[in-house]
Amino acid sequence: MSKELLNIKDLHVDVEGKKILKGLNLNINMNEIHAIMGPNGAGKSVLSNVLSGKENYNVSSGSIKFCGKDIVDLLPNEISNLGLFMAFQYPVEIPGVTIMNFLKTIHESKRKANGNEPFSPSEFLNYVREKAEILGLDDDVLKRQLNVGFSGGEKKRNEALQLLVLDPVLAILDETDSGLDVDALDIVSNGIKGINNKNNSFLIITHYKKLLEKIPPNKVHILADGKIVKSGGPELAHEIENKGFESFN
Amino acid sequence: MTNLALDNLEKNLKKEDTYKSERIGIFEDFVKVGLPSNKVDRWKYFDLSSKAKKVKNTNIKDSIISISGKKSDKLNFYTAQKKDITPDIYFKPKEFIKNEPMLDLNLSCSNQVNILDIKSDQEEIITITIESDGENLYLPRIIINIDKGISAKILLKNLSSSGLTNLLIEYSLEKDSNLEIYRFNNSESTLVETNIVYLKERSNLNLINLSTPKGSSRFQLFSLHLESFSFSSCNTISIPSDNSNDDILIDNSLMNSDCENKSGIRAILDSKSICSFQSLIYIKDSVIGSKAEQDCKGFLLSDDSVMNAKPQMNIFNDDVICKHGATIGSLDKQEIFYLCSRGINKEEAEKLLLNGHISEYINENSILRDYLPGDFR
Repeated sequence: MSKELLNIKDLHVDVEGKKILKGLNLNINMNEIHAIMGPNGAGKSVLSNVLSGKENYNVSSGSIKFCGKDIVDLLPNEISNLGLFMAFQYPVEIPGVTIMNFLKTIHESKRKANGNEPFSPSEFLNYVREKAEILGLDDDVLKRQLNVGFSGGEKKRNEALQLLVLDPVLAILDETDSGLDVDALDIVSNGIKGINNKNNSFLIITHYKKLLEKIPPNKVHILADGKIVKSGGPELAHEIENKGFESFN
Repeated sequence: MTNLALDNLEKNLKKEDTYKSERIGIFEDFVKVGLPSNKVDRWKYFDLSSKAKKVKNTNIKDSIISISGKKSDKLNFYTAQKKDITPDIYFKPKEFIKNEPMLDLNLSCSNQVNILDIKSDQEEIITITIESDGENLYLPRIIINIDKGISAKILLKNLSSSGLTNLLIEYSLEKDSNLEIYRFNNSESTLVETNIVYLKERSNLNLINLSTPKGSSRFQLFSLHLESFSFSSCNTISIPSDNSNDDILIDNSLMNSDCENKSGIRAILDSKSICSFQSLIYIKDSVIGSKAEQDCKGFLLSDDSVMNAKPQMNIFNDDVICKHGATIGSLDKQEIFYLCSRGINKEEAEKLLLNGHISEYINENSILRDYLPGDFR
């Protein structure tokens, strides 16, 4: 039996008094790829934010266990250091911080949290270059300020680079396909697929089946009105594409 | 300033020298306006008048000014007497800047005029250090001349530790010259530093200002673009200590066509520290092809810190490209969350964000990096 990685039970979340998640259940085991699809306002981004530990989301009942630990009260950095990574739908711009410096800081932080020595500068440079090459990014990009002046596609590639560098056990891809052209979608999905192994899992949040064709999921869930209303195999994504979300409400 | 102080200053004026009558006239201008106070000052700066009352000895003393580098025909630094300088040089600031009492006080009463002539390209950075010696009034003046086509870098360190320093620095940039100024202000006393830059055709000035005062400090920069295609920029990192004031006034006059000017500030404010940033751009009606930018960001790390920002553009023709922006507030929560979601804690995330904003002006290789407060180095 596969090792359980994420277990969400009867999760109820409200934001500024408004109930968003209303009894959500989800179970992800190691070495699985799950996809959550759903209409706008269903609670997809709230789910990813709650999993990442963002403040101002009130978990009124239910539980979230990640790697066997209750993470409801953990801080974002603590959750990250357990091995959860969220690729943001709208990554923010951080002026003055180069991508290279940022990657070095977060990589060192993760290694420190896991009781490992940081890489030497040359070791790290080779490590980052190897990951950047997978995504078709050259050294000039690494010198740029984090997301500053980036196009939507460049931001998503940069998220994928961070994902590859941190090598998490669970990666949440929050609408990573939005803003990517066909070629960029190929590069990013191939990069992500390349790190998928028996020691990690993915949760893909998307509106469209295009990304799921590139990274085929084991399970597809439909999130509507704050809970999972249907789960199934990859065929469910085709069903949604044909019928829309309305028929699942 | 007290009557006693005025008497002292007047006594000083009675000394015989070449321009006694002109200086008395300028002193009268100063007396009419008086030291900047909350009542008369143009904006939200600290009250210099009340600070001046604390100066015990209003006899004028010389600041201690030192300069690095070997003197030569091509790099000459010397102390000049007023009689050594022609009136058109000595009173030049009065042609351009009106109703500026600190300037008038310096011009009328200063006994300390230092001149630096740079006549060849300087590979080494020239370091000028200004210090004070006791609770006195200091009125130093420095004139820096950069010859035609010459490039130089200057590190200017203001380390005044006591008294009231009213410093006047003038930079004359001849045609095609380039000057980089790295200013480090770490004064512990009350400081007013007035900088005037005269820019000739195709000259370039880049000033990076790191201001970490531990008292009350005012930096004034008047950039006078006298000829076309001249460029000037002044970017400030302001990190005043707790309970300190840092006032920054940038006044740019684009008096000829095709000139460009940029000014910006990143202020990091904590525990009752106050920063005021005023940036003025004046573009004459007959001047075309001008470009100007003003960019202000203030980060308030505590509820009792204050940032005042006033971008102002006086533009008298349509052929310009100008932009300005000002953002004041605490650090962006979304940015902090983004960084924390990558595994670094909140404190580290805040530090990274602030360092990032500092790096916009003071990069890893900048000479000013070593002068940043410990937390930001």
